Amino acid sequence: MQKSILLTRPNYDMPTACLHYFSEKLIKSINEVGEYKIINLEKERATKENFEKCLTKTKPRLLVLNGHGFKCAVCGHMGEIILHEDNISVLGSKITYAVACDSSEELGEKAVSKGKADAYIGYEANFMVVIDPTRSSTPSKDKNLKVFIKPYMALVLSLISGLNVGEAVNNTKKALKDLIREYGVYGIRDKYGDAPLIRFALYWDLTFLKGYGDLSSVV
Amino acid sequence: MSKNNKKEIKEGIKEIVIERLLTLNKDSKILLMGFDKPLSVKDLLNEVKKDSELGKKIVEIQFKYIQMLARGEI
Repeated sequence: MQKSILLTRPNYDMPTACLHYFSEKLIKSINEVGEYKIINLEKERATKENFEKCLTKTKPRLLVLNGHGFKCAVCGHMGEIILHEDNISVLGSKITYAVACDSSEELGEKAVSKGKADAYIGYEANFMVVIDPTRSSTPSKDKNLKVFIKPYMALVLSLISGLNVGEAVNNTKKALKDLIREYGVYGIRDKYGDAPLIRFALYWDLTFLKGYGDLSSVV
Repeated sequence: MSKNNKKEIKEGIKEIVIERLLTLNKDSKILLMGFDKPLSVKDLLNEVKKDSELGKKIVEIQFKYIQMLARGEI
């Protein structure tokens, strides 16, 4: 049976548009690998009802949740809460990567202890990216934003290449560190002086990325 | 260490971070998941100055970042 990956991809404001663009690139890369069926809960389809229905029906091993969130919840379309302590059991025996604000601070522990998730990967503070204000309405044309696609994708691509959760987190941290180094010697190409802030944002994401549960879990 | 010393150190760190933020391009903007709109460097400075939850996190991570740079770790 073909393994599946479920992605939630709301797109209704600037931060969700940015993650929507990142996840579009990710889906393209996963499709190139070819071994996984993608369940794409995009835009207005990213609701709690669809989320729960798809989990029951398709039983994906890996969930990639993009969107807003807070310490104890992850949101879908127009800020609708799709994952909360009340339905945390839907993560049972699954691996979840949530790029949703500081959701991992409380939800990470609960996903494992109460929801019986195999693993939960998220950020203990708001996921941060740097944008080019002149291109902010078109993520695909924003060169600053593109810097953050690599570490975003590194986590999922590491998992689907067979690495376990702990190794995938370490791989992503390495990608973030490499970019911090790269932007330290970026001077000549840094026409608008954004490199120092980009380095700080990469360091921010590096600091707050965390895996919970059984870090030896594999997809 | 006395309470006063701790407070002085905390304020000192905050000043270092503010000075560091002042060296950044003030027009550069970040997007934080959970915030509807982008934040400029000026907004970040305001968050630090008013000691908001975000401001405190910025001070903590900027200071760690400066220390890491000083140690030549990256």
